[in-house]
Amino acid sequence: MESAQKNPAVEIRAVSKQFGRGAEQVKALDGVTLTIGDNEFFTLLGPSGCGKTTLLRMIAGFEQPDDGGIFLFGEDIKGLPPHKRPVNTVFQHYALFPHMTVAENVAFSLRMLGRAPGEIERTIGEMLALVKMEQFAARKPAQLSGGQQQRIALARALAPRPRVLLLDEPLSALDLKLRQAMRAELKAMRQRTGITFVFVTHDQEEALTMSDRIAVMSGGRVRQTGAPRDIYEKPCDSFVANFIGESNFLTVTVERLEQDAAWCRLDGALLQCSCAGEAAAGFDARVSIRPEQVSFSADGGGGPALSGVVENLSYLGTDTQLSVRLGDGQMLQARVQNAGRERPPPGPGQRIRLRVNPGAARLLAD
Amino acid sequence: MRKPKPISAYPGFSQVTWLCMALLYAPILVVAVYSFNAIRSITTWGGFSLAWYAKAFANPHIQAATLNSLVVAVAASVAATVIATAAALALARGRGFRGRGGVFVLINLPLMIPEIVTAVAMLIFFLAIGFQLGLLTVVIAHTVFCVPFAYLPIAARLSGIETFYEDAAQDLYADRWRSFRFVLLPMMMPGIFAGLMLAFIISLDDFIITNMVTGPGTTTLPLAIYGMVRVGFSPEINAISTVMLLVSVFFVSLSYLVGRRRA
Ligand SMILES: Nc1ncnc2c1ncn2[C@@H]1O[C@H](COP(=O)(O)OP(=O)(O)OP(=O)(O)O)[C@@H](O)[C@H]1O
Ligand SMILES: [Mg+2]
Repeated sequence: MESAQKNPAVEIRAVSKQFGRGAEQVKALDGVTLTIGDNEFFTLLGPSGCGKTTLLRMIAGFEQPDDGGIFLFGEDIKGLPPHKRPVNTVFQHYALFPHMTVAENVAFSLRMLGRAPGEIERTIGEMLALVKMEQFAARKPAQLSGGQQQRIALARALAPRPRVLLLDEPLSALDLKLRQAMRAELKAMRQRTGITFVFVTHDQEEALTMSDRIAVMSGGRVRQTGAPRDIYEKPCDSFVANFIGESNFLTVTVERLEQDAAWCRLDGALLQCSCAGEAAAGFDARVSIRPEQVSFSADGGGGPALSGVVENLSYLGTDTQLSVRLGDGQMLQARVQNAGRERPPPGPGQRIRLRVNPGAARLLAD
Repeated sequence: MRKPKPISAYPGFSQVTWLCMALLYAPILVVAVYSFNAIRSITTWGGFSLAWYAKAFANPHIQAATLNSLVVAVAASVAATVIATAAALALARGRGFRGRGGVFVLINLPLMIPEIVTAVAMLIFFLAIGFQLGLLTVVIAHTVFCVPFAYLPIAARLSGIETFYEDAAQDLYADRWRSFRFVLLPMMMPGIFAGLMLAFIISLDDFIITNMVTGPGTTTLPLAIYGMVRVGFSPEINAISTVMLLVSVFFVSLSYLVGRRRA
């Protein structure tokens, strides 16, 4: 009963924002609508310049929407200045105050909120323990490594216990190993604190591994919202399919439509596809097929399959990727695992038979 | 592309350099050295002594002028620094307003106008509005021409501070005033201090404008030295000049070092 009335943490309704005038005008956000649930790890994913930071700054209160509304736990926060919103940000460049020690940085918000000195001391201790930085309390930010600064920025933003934490590409300045370690830590931190995280990134792997839900953005619009698995396996259009992971884009002819499946003909073989939008039988359409959903056999045993000639072979460590030219001239990338395979993969010039896992082909809306 | 030859490799470079250095600094060196001369001569050396320093410090005329100079320099440099800080903030952080470029030029104009023109203009202005000439007019005049000197290091410092620090402060529940007071101002402090030092020295050293707008009986140190030189030369003047030189070098170095310091 209670959960039915519970308001979402953040609700963004038809928000638009333009920067500049005349010839230099940029539409940073174009009718964005999103609902971010309480306790969610929500990621805004998209290429550079798609409006992620602008949207985040709007939730924090640094930008005002030209149009639309922003609601925090059901309350309209339009016009509320940043210092009156129960929302904190981990900035892309951390923005730690260089003239303050680590402890003073963490204490800043509590001092501004007029908390009692005892409580401030206790919170500093708790927050530094949370990010495992207790022994650095007296240092200045300039005396910390990038990863350590990142932790302090996180501790500082969490100290006043915000209802929503905004993170703008907080891992982008770290090296690969540290970035991977921080992913798991951030996810664990979200669960431990019970605070809603809104995370911005242009790194699809980061988004897939950390998020409860992802909104894929491009050109100031939200293209698709969903769980990582849905976004990856059921992309709605070619932008999403292309931006997240690798995909084959092939032209097929739709033969027959069922409830939510479509049978499409590709180079003589009939594929079972899932549908992203409306499709009409008898017309050509585009499908997206993930390379790992294609399996092959040299002899061609077992049911209807595609056939093609291997043109290229790349060894990728865990996998081998084959570029195969189909009978109708279209190229198909297939990826097979190297582990546990008895026979060596086929070489260039060899004719092989391919099979696409049922339902793995996605009929795209565009 | 060939690397250009270092300039010191050209013939005559070191000779020309030494000549320039000598022309610039030899006279100053002579002044400093003869301030320690035991006899009243600026051409023959009669042994080491601090007598002229003692005499200069004991001279009531010089004492009064020094006090005036300090009062003027402190008051004018503080006032100029406050104005310059406000101007730098308005230009760098205020929302775009019409005539920004014009304001920038206005702030820095005193650097380009010949000092004698400023001096005459100020004198005429004070006379026209019937303002009694004295220490106060000197302070006002000094404040005006010190503003650009204070402005330059402050603006340079401010332009190096990214706006995301203020954003972070406001995100952490500081209102605009407190984000300025606790974050931006402390971060600007090295620039403000450098500007203050520079303005202080510029004021301490000024002659032309001071001479024009001061009232009867109000002398500053440069005016006092000029007055003494006209009466007749004494190594006492060397001593005062050397002290002023040291004070200037100290403050300019301090200004440079602090202004250069990171956060
Ligand atoms: N203050 C501003 N003035 C003018 N244009 C702006 C401003 N802020 C953002 N823009 C423009 O709005 C668009 C979206 O910018 P935004 O910073 O939100 O992108 P982003 O998705 O965060 O990109 P990145 O991944 O590179 O950080 C860009 O085209 C950008 O140039
Ligand atoms: Mg951004």
